[in-house]
Amino acid sequence: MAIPMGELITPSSVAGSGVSLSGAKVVFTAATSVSVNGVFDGTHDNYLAVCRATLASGSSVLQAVRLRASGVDDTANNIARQYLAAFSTSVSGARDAVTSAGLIGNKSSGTMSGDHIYFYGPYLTQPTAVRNVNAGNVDSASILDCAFTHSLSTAYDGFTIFPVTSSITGTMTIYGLSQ
Amino acid sequence: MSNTGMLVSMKPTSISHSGTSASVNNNGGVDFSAVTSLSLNGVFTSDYDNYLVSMNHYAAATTAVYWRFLLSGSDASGSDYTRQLLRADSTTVAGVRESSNTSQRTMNSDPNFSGCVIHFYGPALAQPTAHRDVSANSLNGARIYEYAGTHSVSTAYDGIRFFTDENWTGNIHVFGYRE
Repeated sequence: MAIPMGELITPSSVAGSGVSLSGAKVVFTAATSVSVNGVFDGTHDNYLAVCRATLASGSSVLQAVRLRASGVDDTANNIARQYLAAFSTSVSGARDAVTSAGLIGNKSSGTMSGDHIYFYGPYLTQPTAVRNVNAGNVDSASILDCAFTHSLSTAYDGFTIFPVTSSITGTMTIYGLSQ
Repeated sequence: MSNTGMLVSMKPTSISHSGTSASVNNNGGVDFSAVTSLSLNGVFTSDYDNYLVSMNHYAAATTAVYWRFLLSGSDASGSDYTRQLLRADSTTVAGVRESSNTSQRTMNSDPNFSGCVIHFYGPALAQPTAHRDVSANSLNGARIYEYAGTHSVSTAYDGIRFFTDENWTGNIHVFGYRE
């Protein structure tokens, strides 16, 4: 019997200047933030977002993510994050124990970058874990993976991604992972 | 296989190889034995932005595994590939960036079994492409040997060719992320 490993999810709505839906695909152009609502629910425990984007301007600009509920981002310091970075011969890691956003790679203007963002239990009323796997384009190729945990036992139904500066153009699709 | 889920099998429209044998199996994957070159045509299409390439393999002796994008069966062999390596081999954790290459690399293959997935972001779009490996490499018993990379040319590619210096055996399956 063939068992689909995941289900394509259409956001109930999106938010942000330059952000729209094309079917289930989130399309964003020169967006300073990309918010999706109604993507997490009780159907799945875990989710995957696949995102590709270019940055309008700048070099090595961090991109961040926040969970949101009912259209409102959680901006409180409820996140602990650990990153693992490889830039040329420099490999490093660091933990930020109390912060307000997770990281999903960093970008430079120019070539494409991509991210796989795994959400573990965002809609469950328990703390959430998130892991990003990054194909970065800082100096044309780089890695900045991040794992983070969100400490609140709140059911979140969406999330927001945003570059710390500048704007991003690209697409994102979201999947519920089979249980 | 079911095409109702997250991933859609991208059965090659054709394949070619140098070496002993290669064939498309009933699931849409490609089984190959003792090859030094394997081309998969028609696996990237305008239907999907992003792709997952799942592969497992071993080689007659330890060898680098290279790949290039294909368009209508011809290699994209310009000096347009940049890659960032992140390697964890026992207590050694290291990174290397290699720029302006004429091909890209994935993890080495050796006489023991290894596996990896490669995430491709936008190979069939007329934009630069990003990719990221996630690997389980058997060399030295077990190690992590992962690349992120970009290809700077704004061309829509429809295939991929892998090539090695040693006889190479395994399976490759290309999937599109449903959108």
